[in-house]
Amino acid sequence: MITRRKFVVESCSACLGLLAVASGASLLAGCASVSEFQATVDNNTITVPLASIAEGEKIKVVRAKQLAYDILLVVGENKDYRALEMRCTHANNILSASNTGLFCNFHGSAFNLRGEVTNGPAMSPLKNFRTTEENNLITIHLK
Amino acid sequence: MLFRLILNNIFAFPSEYLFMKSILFLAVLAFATLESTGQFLTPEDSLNAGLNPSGRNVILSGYGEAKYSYDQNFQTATFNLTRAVLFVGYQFNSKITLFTELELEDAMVDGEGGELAFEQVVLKFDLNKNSYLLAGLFIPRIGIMNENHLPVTFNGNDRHLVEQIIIPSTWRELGVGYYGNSNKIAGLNWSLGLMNGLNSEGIAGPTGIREARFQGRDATASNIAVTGSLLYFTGPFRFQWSGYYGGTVGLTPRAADSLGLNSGAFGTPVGLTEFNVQYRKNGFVFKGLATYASIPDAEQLNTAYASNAAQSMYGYLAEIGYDLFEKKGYPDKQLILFVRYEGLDLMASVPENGIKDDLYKQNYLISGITFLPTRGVALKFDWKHITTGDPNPALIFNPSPNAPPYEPVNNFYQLGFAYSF
Repeated sequence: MITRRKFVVESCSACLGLLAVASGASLLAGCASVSEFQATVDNNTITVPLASIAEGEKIKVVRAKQLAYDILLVVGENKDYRALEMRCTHANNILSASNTGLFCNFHGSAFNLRGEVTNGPAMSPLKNFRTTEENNLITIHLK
Repeated sequence: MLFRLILNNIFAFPSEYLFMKSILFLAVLAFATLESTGQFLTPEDSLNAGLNPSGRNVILSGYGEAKYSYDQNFQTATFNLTRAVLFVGYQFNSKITLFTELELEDAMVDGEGGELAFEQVVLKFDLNKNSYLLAGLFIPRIGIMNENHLPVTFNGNDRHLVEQIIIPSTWRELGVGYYGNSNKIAGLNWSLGLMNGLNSEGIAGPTGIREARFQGRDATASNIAVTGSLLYFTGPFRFQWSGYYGGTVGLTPRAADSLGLNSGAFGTPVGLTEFNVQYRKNGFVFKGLATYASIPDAEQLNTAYASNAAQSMYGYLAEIGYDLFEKKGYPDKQLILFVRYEGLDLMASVPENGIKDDLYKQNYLISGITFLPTRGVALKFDWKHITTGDPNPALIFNPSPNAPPYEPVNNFYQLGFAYSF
């Protein structure tokens, strides 16, 4: 007959094992890099060549010396583009990006790839710059 | 003119309201600064310092929480303004920002309690767009709550008990921290910290290392501590590991020798490690945390201070919650049902000269509901079921003949509100 102690230990071990397997699978799936694109600000716009975005690439960090914060360029399912400022709207901290969203380590705010708040304390969505596409160039309009 | 009138009224307050005067004065000062030179940061400032050479910005924010708590065993209730915090920041330029966080606990400070203290006074130096340095009174990345303790972000009226009792959140010390994230491995973040160590005199069995924190006041710095963390976001998961190791004796070698303690940078050390994981998807939230702390020289501490320090302690928690509004299409509202289980033992092992007390082996089952009518405001109800071991009679030195028997099980029913802006 199984003892209560043994039951608790074995049940917990099984749960932890399942969690470890699920986490491991998720880790392997999500262990991707985010490429950077060095840009310059010209007349309040930034241009990113379409050729710089690899096939299947979902996000790209756009970095310009003139800007205090990077911009996350998000490639939509219909090849539409979204440019999100990587600044937490709660306390202006630098955000960390992954293929599923942006995260702030200061107080735990999280945003999805549309820039919407998915976890507080941030209350406002991320700054979403207007983008246009022409002649194989994506233009990010800063104003 | 308006500010002069307000200031005159503040200073007209009687002297026993000194701390309230301080708070009001700081608040008025912040607003005056905003009116005279600064501005609120808004999303429209997003080009900020990079395209704005002046780069002068004031950040004003805050949070607070209050709690009504009914104690079933004693059949009494208390109502308390647990804390109100004023957060003022100032962006000097695109690379340097000041953050301050001033906290008033229990509404006021007098001989019976309350605390007015800085939780953070830290300068942030952005090294590049992936890393920054913090210098000053800062909160190292240890556990979930230490960094992310805003009351609208956790369920229940109490911060995680494990993260108050074993990990002494909010744990802040003076030092420097290096924080970064990697673009090579998306979602990977790290931190390293160097700060003053703990105070060996404050380490005791019933309170663990909580009373050993200096929290920025006259810290000894010949004993130091290092911390480090790895944090990884992937999909709906957030994983974090962190560690702490530091010396606790900042006395002169002569004084330390006379107490039989080891001084120096890492003398008479304390080590602590924790691992936590969080999962958020489709309205479901899961949090899990485990922590273990070690005080290998607890025997020497007990000889020096008769503090009954433990050699090791541990704690763990698991929480699951579901947002009932997830599929209702209310983007700014949440109605979260949750249940959390926490277990801890402050005296998991004691040295030969220590006396184990099962009173500090505690379990908490907390369940309730958190309603956010809008982001930044939370209304909370929870039921807290506590079980502890029996107190060791060997540690009750003068038992009162009229004392009621200790009840190892109790229930609390708690209502509260919280805000953050």
